[in-house]
Amino acid sequence: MVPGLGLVARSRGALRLTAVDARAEAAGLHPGLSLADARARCPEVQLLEADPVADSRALGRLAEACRRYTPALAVDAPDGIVLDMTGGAHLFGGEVALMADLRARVVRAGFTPRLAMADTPGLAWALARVRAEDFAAPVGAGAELLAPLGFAALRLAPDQLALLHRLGLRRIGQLSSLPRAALVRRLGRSLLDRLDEALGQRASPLVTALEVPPWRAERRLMDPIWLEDHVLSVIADLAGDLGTRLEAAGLGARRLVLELYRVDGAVRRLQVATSRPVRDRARIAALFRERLAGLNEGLEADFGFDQLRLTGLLLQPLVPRAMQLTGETDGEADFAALADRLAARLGPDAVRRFTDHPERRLPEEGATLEPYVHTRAPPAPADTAHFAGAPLRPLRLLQPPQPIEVLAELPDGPPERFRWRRVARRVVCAEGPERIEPEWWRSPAVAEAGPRDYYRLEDEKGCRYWVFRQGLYTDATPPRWYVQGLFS
Amino acid sequence: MDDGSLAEDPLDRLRRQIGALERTRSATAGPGVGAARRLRADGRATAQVPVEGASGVPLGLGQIDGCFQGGGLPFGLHEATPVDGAAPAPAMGFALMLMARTLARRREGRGLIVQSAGAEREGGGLYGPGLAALGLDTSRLALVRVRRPADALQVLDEALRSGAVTAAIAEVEAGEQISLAASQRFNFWAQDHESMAFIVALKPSGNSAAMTRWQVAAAPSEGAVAWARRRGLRRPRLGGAGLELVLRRNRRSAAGGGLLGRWIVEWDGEDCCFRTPEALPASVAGTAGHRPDAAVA
Repeated sequence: MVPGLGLVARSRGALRLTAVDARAEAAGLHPGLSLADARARCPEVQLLEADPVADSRALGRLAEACRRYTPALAVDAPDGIVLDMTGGAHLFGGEVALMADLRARVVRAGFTPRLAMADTPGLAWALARVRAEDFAAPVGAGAELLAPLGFAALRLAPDQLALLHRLGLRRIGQLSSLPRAALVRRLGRSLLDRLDEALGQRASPLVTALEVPPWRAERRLMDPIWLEDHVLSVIADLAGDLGTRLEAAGLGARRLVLELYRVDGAVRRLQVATSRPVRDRARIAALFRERLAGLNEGLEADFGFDQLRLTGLLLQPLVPRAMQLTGETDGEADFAALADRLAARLGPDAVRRFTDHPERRLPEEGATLEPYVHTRAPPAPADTAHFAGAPLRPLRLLQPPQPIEVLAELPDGPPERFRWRRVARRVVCAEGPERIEPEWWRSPAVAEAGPRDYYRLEDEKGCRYWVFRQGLYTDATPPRWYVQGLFS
Repeated sequence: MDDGSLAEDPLDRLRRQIGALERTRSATAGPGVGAARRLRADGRATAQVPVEGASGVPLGLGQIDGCFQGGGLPFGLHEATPVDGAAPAPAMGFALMLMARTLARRREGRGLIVQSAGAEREGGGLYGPGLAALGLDTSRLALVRVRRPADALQVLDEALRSGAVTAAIAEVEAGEQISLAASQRFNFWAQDHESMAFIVALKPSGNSAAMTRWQVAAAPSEGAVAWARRRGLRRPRLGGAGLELVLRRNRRSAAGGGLLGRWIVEWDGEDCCFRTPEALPASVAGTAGHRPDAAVA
């Protein structure tokens, strides 16, 4: 016989079982048993440490897969998912067919579900945990269904359950003959609240996991598709649908997400970002073609996808532009399209543009490279000061600056010789110092570092370096020298 | 149809195809989109950069431009590598200077720079203000970082094919080899869209169809040193950005045989052109306190 599986976690001062599978249960184990007892009763059962974080992540993935049924769903930790199917069950062939379909999918994903459908989330919670088989409660039958059940079906705290037990109350139905005021006095407000919620006499709104973005196009397919060409053609159709609606609203999408629902319940999300709003069917399809081409692991279609959904996440106004009759192309638009394609394939961080931050003083912070698709085009520089002689700033920046050993004239002369990357270099020409004071108001660490004195050096081969000295020779600790840039 | 013509036909076709691949823009420049675009480019050219020879980009130095048919660096693929044993930075600097010159000629032109992660780790990332100091308009540039070296050439291919870039630079790692077919493709796309493509590598590729091949090294500021010595100054200032250029290959030579040469030049970021180094140091820079704010901050 195959040994079962149990999970163990520390509770009440000892390692105890928190969950067992059917085979372990048959062998006589049950949750709450201490590890020593479990080992004694059934030594061959495999026991693993419980991982609640992974559990909740798996529950979240399962909830995502349930999004195919309804957008309004809530994760009921640690072990439940609540779907609000109000007015939606007929789309899936009625309540019974819906539950059968859901059960089949969850089982295929490797779980054993207990399903119940009822008027209120509270009643469905109770029925799912009490009844072994799937059950769709008739409308308005809540009171009869709850009456024979134990109080464990009401989501009560353990001390409330113990008190009810001591009072001799076993079934929910017994409460109906007791005065409500006395119950509230003895057991607190929450007992009757839970009961009223289950019966629909008190509102119990769901905290839904995600709101629905309205810019969405979707296809449910009769048969799953798995070939990349087919997926791309469906994407083009979706892009056409979405594009038509965006055009009517005068909008374009800067960020698009495609969700691929696989038959076995896995959901693949692919996102693309663009540097300017798009709604053209061919351009959106081309972006996703690049995105698919850039996947290291391929499409992972396995048994195929039976539902695809395209959503525009970030929308911006997009004004249509007249075509140039001379055949002249818009250079900027072509270039943006190229950058978007490259970013879709190589990742949004791979394509960057040069960005200046005039408010920052340190060279490495004053000019950075930012992702092309997430930043706006900077204004063209008014008239940057070009120097006919040696450039003031290096072509390449070493980040972080690399320490060098220096022989320099005291107190503030440029280096005479220095050693960088294990090669000694003799300085022939030098200019400086140029003092750059860091932004001491930003943090004490920055203020501590002190100003930097920059020098431009040329060695005997003509190579040029941008080096700086941090600190002064008059300080208690000797200053340190770094090379931060290389000129051409 | 006799046997002779049957045997000749495929050969003729092959010759025509090779001729089409190798054709010069000046020879085929008839009325068409290319010609129209060239006219526009000429009309928009800035005052300080003279436009001559529509089949390429003149460097601004007569002695170098004279080596090329049409009086300028032809459109197509060019290779820049460091002189043996020299530092690798100046080769990239040379490519960026040529990019600056190309973009200065076309107001709407865009530039793309592709760096592989390894090359960036070794030599440092490109720095916007430094590029601006060369005369490049950084708002018209994009930089692509690729993780795999092979991607760099693929991105270059796509950029040139799209026609959206006027100048593109790919910096590749030491081990990366460029196939003959790939380099011919780069040439073809670049000439078709009248753009410039540069491959900056550590070693020259063995077998490529690049229009020119350059070796580049930094040139010491000899003029500035001599000037300082005459004045009795102990420490000379830096001269202009000097480069030593060695033209190793020239497929578009003005005279019959491939005209090659070696020059010491200086880059002028203000006018975006090369010039001969001056005896006097051009930048007798003041102390930091007298510089404009933009230069200090």
